[in-house]
Parts: sequence; C-alpha cells; structure tokens
Amino acid sequence: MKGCPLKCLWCHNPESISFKPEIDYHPEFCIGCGACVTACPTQSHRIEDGQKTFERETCQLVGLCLDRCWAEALELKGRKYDVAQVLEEVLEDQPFYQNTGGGVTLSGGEPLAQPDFSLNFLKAAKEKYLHTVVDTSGQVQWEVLKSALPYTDLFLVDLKCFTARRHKSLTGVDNELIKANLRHLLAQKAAVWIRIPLIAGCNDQPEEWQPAAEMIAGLNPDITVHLLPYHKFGEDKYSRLGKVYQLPGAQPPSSAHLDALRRIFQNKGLRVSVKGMEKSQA
Amino acid sequence: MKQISHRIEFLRKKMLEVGHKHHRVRRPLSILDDENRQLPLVVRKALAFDLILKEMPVFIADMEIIVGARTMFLPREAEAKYWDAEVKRNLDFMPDAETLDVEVPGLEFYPHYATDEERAAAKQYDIGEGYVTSHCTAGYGQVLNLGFGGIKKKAADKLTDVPAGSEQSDFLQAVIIVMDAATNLVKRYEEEANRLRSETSHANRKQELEKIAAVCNKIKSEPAGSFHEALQLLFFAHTMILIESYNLMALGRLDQNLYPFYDKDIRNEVITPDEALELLSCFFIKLNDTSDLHTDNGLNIILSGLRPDGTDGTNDLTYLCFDAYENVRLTDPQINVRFHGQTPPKVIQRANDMEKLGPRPMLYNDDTIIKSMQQVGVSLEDARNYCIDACQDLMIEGKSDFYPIFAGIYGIHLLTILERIVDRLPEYETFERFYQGLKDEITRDVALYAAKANSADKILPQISPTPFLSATLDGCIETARDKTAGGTMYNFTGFVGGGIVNVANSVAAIKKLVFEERKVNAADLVAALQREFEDDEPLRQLLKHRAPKWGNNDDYVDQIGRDIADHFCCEVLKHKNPRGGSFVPGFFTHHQARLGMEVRSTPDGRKRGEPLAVSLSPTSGTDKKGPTAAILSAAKIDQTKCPLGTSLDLTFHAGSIYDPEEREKVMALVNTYFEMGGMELQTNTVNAAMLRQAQDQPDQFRDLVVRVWGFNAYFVTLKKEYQDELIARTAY
Repeated sequence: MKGCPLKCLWCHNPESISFKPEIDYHPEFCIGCGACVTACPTQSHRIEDGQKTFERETCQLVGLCLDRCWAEALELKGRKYDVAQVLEEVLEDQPFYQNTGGGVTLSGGEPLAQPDFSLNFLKAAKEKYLHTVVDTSGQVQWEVLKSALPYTDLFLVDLKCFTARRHKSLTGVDNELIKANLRHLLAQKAAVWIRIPLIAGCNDQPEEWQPAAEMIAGLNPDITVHLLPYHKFGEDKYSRLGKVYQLPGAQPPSSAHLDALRRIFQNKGLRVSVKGMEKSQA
Repeated sequence: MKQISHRIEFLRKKMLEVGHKHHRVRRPLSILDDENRQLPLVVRKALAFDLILKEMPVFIADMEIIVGARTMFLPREAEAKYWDAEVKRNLDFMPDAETLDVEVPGLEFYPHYATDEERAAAKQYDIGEGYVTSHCTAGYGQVLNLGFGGIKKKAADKLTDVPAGSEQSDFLQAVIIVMDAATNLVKRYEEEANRLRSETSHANRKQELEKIAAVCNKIKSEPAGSFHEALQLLFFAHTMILIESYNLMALGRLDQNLYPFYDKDIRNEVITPDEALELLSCFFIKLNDTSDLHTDNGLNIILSGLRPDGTDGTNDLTYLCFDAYENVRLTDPQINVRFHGQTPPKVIQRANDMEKLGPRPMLYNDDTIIKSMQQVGVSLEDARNYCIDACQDLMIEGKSDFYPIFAGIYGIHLLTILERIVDRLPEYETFERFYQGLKDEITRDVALYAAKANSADKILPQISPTPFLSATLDGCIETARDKTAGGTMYNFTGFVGGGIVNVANSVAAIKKLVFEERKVNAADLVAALQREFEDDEPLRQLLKHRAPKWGNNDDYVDQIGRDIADHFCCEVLKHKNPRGGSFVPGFFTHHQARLGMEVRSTPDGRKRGEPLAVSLSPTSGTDKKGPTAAILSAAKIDQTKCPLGTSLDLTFHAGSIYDPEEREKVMALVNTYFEMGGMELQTNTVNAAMLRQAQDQPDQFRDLVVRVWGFNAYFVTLKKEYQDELIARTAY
C-alpha cells in the first residue's frame, strides 16, 4: 500500500513513501516512438537529439502518457482499489494457501495509514478464513492497531533503532509511539515478529540494540527477532522516480558484526533469525 | 553422507575429461551382397546388427566393473548431416575414415542393408535405411528375466507355430539372429576380460576381471541371477538397443526392474548396500559413454510411483538410485520421479535434495497420467506401469510404442497452422469467424498429418524394422510381428501440439486489439508480421503489452488456450494408425531457441529469433504474477486428454531453494499443480548470476548441469542462444 509516515534513508521501496500516485520511468524500455510527447498536455515529455527526457517539475499527473506508452516504459505507481477487488485477486491463489498454510500480508508503505481500507479488508479476509499478516512501521494510533487485532494473525513490527534522536535523523520521526505500540501489542499477547533492518554505520551500533534487547525481553521473552541485513535491490528505483538516494554506497554490517549483534539478543534469551545468511549456504 | 569411493571418483573424472572416445572407430559397413539381397529385409537388418556387434572394438577400461560401450560409427560426414552441429565438434575425437556417399537420411549410423528399390520406395515418405522412431522404452524386464537365450528360445518355439516363408517367420528368424549376435558380443567381452586378466599383474584387478568374465559368461545367454549380473545384462541390452535405435532410448522403471535381484542378494548376504551402491554408480557412469555425441541423450530413469496392483512401488533401490546420482553427478542418467497420494515423504525429500548438486528431477503425477492412459484403452494395471521416453513423453514400459516424433511433425505445428490463418486475417469479418477458421484449419491439418503419418507408418516395417527392440516388447514374439508392424500391445502415434502458448497469446492479441478495441488494423498486422516487425516497434510493443498473456491466470487468454488445446486433442484422438492404435495428443514445445529462429514473428509481439514458450510455461518475461499464476493457467487445460504428456517448467533462483522452509513451499506448488490435474512439472533452481559466470568462465563450470526442457546438459556446452535463454527465463 502506498504512503508511509516514515521516510527511512535506506528505504528500498521509495515508491511506497508518498501517499500520492507517481510515475515510474524505465529509460531502458523506451523505444523512442514519441507517443508520450504527443499525448502530454503539459509538455513534460520531450525527445531532443534522440534523447528522451521526462520533466517531473511540470508533470501534473494527467496520465495520458501512461496509456500511450505501449513499451511500458512509463508505469503508474499508485492505483485505487476497493476491498472486493483486492480480495478477488488474493483468492485466486487459495488452492495454494490450503497446501502451505499461507495467506495474505498487508504491507507497504504503512498499511494502517489507510485504516478504512485495511480494517475492512482484514475483516473480509477473515470471513474467507484467510491467514492474515500486517507488516507495520508501528507509527500509527494505538486505536487503529487495536481494531486490527481481532482480524490479524501476525504482526510484523519494524524497529529501526532504539534511541529517539537517532531514529528521528534516520526516519524523520522519533520512536516513542512505535515503542508504546509494541508494548501494547505484546501486553495483548498478539503474535509479533520484530524485524530490524541493519545498515552499516547507520543503525548497527551495539549501544542501540543492547537496550532494545532488554526492552523486548522484558515484554515477552518468546519473541523472535529477525535481523535483516541491507541489500541493494532498491537503489535503482530512486532515479526512476526522479528521486536521489540518500545513502549511496550503503552496506550491510560485516558477518562478524552481525554475529555480535545477534549475540546481544541471544544473551537476553531471545530467538534470533538472520535473513540472507542461511540462504547463501551452498 | 557416504564416502564416494576412489573407483567412482576415478571413473567419473575420466568420463568428464575424455570418456572412451579413443576406443571409437569409423567404418563404412554394408552387408549387402548378391547372395543375401534375396533375403527378407528384416533378416538383412538383423544381419547388419550382427555385423556391428562382430566388428565393433571391445574394451574394458581401467577400474571399470560394468563394461561395454558402443564403439562403431559411420564416417563423420554422414552423421554430421543428421544431428546438431555440436556433433561435428565432438566427433573430432574420432579417427578419420573414407567418406561414404550418402543421399538418404537415416543411413548415418547403421550399415547398408537395403536395396536401391527398397530405398526408393521409402524415400517418398522421407524415410531412409536405418530410420528409427526411437522414443521407446524397451522391455528391460523381459531381458533380465529371460536373458538373450531365453528370448531366442521364445522366438524359436514360436517359429514352429507359423507358416514357413511367411513374414512372421522372417521376423522370428531376425530375432534369433540378433539374440545370437547379442550372446556373441557378451562372449567377446568375456574373452577380453580373460585376456586382460592374464596380462595384468595387479592381484585386485585380476580378481575383478575374473568376476567380470564370470558375469559375462553367465549372462551371455542366461537370465540374470545376481544384482551385478542384472546391472551388466541391462547395460549390454541398453548398448544394443542404442546400436539399433541410435539415440533417445530411455531406461524406464529402473528401481522396479532391478529390485528383485538387489533384494535377493542383500537377503542372502551376497552383497552389502555399499557394494551395491558402488556397482550402481559404475552403471550410472557407463551410461555416459556416448553422452558427448548429442546435447540430448534422453537417458531417463523414472523412480517410485504406483505398482500395477495399485500399491506404492518405492523400494530400497529407489533410494540407492538417488545415492548413485549424488555420487556420480553426470548428465546421464536423468532422474524423474513419479508422485501419487501416498508417495513416501522420504522420496520427496530426496527429490528435493538433488537440487544441491544440479538440476531437480522432473516430477510426474500418477493420478492424471494414469487416467489419461485409460482414456485411450490402456488397462489400469498397464497404465500404472507408465514410464517416460527420452524426452518427457509418456508410455507404457516394455509393451508400447508411441512414435512421438514422426513423419515431419515437430514441435511447431500449431504455430504453422496459425501463420497460415493469420495471413488471411483481413478476410474475416468477425473474431468468431477467424477463430472458427483457425479451428477448422487445425481439424484439416490434423487429418492431413494423420494420413501422411499413416502412409509412412505402413512403409516403415518394409524398410527399417527393429527386431532387437521388438523382441523385448510384450506381444511382438507372441504375434511374430515387429513393433513397426504393430506387434506390441499398445501401438500409438504421438502428435505433439507444439507452440500452444504462443498460439493462445496470439489469438488473444488478435481478439482484443484487432476485433474488440480496433487499435490494430488486420492488414497492417499481417504486413508487419511478414516483414518481421522491421519497422513496427510500437505495434509490436502494443501486441506484447496490451493483450493478456498466458501464465497470469487471466481467463481471457487462458480460456482460449484451453479451448484450442481441447479441440486439438479431440481431433487427434479421432484418428487411427495402421498398427491397431490411435493417435494421441500431447503439448510440448522443445528446441525453443532454434524454433524461435525458424518460426515467423507472431501476433503476440514475439519477433522472429526470440524463443518460443516452452510447453505449457509462459513466454519468458510475460508472466507477471508469479509461479502460482503460471500454475493456475496451465492447470486449466484438461490434461487427461493428453496421454502423450504435457510439461510445465518453472525457474527459481537458487538462493530461495536452499532454505528448507522455501523448499516446502516449492513442494506445495507441485502438489497444488498436481491436485489441479497437472501432469508433469519441472522446476529449475539455477541462479542467473551463476549462469552468467559460467558463460564467462566455462572452464570453471564444466560440470554445471542444467535441465533445458526434458534433458540435462552441461551448461557450458550449450549454444550461446540457449544459455542466454535459460538465463532470461523467469526466475522467481
């Protein structure tokens, strides 16, 4: 779902940050036919000296170019759907869910930032006996989370770092609300996975995670913490959306460092899974 | 994990590096002379077989326990015309010989045995001397249980029952000749083993050679007794099958056929499981002796699955085959696994584990396959004994012949028909008329092909019967008829509906863009296709991106695919062949890169040169909704109507497959596809980055094996366009 109250510097789905539709431009697919140039009422598309350019400053998202770009070099990010439409699509795969115990995950962006849709969708999913997961930043009003509780089998809650000041510099907001919501959720005995993206030099300082481990262990020692080392797959998207990536050269922490972070949580009796590590085992 | 023995490591390495190419010879051979040209053709063919087995060099290489190999070939130019250009390169290892004047295809691997008149009569049907339909899994069970001598006796006994000088008596005489020839070849190996034994000073090797000689002595005429004897007899029979039918001859239900011999030896403590594994591994390695000659050898074995009585057939040998595969890890044999409701979880796990070393096995759904066989008159017990041939086509082991590639039908047929109709597109006022026109053309074309195939079918026994293969098939000796004359139990003619996905996508594009939305003018489309989209990139993109594509669970195109598939199947099933069986449909599209060059640009936006979609898989890059949608689309086709088989190929990134949790999900995909009526599923787990690396550094990746469509290949030996295509194929 599109739109997020956070603006994490490392976000690998930048198209999910703004609540508004955006145009994603793939220059590698452009065939230079010029149909977009003709279609655009604001002359935001140009072909000069055989070079195609797209001027976002003048673009008013009229969207006629999207229909005319047959090569699919222009893609609209952000469409309106109602609950029934999304549910129909989800139910297509129902034969598979029956064999895997799978279901539907709401994520984004921040799915609970559109509570009208999300809560109604979760209710409708439950009427069809679907397993439901909500992947949330935690930066939402508690009332909304509380309303989602009866219809959500599992919450995936991100924790970007522990200290409020660092959190604000990395994501644009402090984390008091997030921490409070986490406490509430765990007090309600909700099923929760805590997910921690780790970017070297940004949020991988041990002093961030020692207090975090203590807090989590204090709330519920049975929680599994998922460490997610940084990957580069989102970096290309920024230029396609006319944005500038704020962390060029970002790296995941070294495996030694990841091990050290893992031990911080394990020493508090928490289960830890490190994504990406076991998968590269040959 | 068992320690791989020194012997297996040695034999394996040797096979990878050089194999036994240096034992091969090339010689132009003929058995025709003034005397025997009077003999019946089938007898002459048998004499030619005998000649090869007499003339071909025998060898027993260092450390070999299972012995034998095909070593006699015809001169290079003759063979190179018939098979891929790769063969030319590989045959460089063979010594030069004088050229043979070759006009007629099919002579290339078999000695001259037919008269000019006989050849001329066959030539009009594009059939030459030595022509074989291959693609037939022999009756290995018969060979193991009767031995060459037993089969000969069966023929000799029947001979007393048939009129002298009849075609039946000719056939039986041919069987006697080839079985004697088989016995003599094994004798030659026994002699070679004894010779080497007297020459070697190594005590161990002396013992081994003595054993080899003893085994050969036993099985030259008798049925097998021990597991070692069974493996050796099976291997000799297989070698002889290849000598007669050249290539693409699979091995069938290996675990079922060999199990009684294994079980007896284990219970009587004649052998330990480790010793049995080493023998089986030697056997597996030997299967690669001629693997360098072709990119596709079709040496399929199929494991597990239901027994004829309906119980699960998994046995200890099933698992030993997985073990042997893991030890050996060469392209052949290719492992295939049958699945049913009660498949032991351990079998599933072993099938999954294979991907750590190379390609995953192809998986077969007993339920749908058995139903489809029954629908064409196969008994339930026989249907349960299905196996596959060299590619992915289905057949009944040891009692059937399916002719899946015959009389010019080859994998693009539906697209050829489509092209014809599309060229007339401006004549059709409505989509319904166009669509009906297409279906009518399919009907007509199927009938035409059936007639053509049947003409060739009738001539085949008169130019190239296969007495050795026939002698192993149930029914042939009993009726005293070669399989080419319909002697075995189930005599079908396969008809592959190639290109179904591209056809469905093309029809959907025409329906939507030409007739419904009128965004494309019919004449403009035809013109653009005829000039291969040379000046029409925007139109091509429109066709590619603005019409629904198969593999996305979109009923708009899926129903078209289903309907055309259904129509094709119904039409094919109406026709009978002269061997007492019917035509049977299947959906495969193979050689997708090469055919992509041969087939004109298509209305789905595919330019000539781009590969076709493989069998029921979506065209590369057009499936946008993941493997579940690809499966849902493929499952809409009623595959109980396709007894020849269908296949769906999905490619996954390797990284996702090493995780046991992820593997469970892949199995769930398989199970769901099978529950929904899918027949055959191939999952590849190659990592695109790894393949690119292999492209750049072929030397470091010499033993990287991938599964292209129905066969395994060393990635670095594939043509670049296949390499590129495999890399580009959708990875989830």
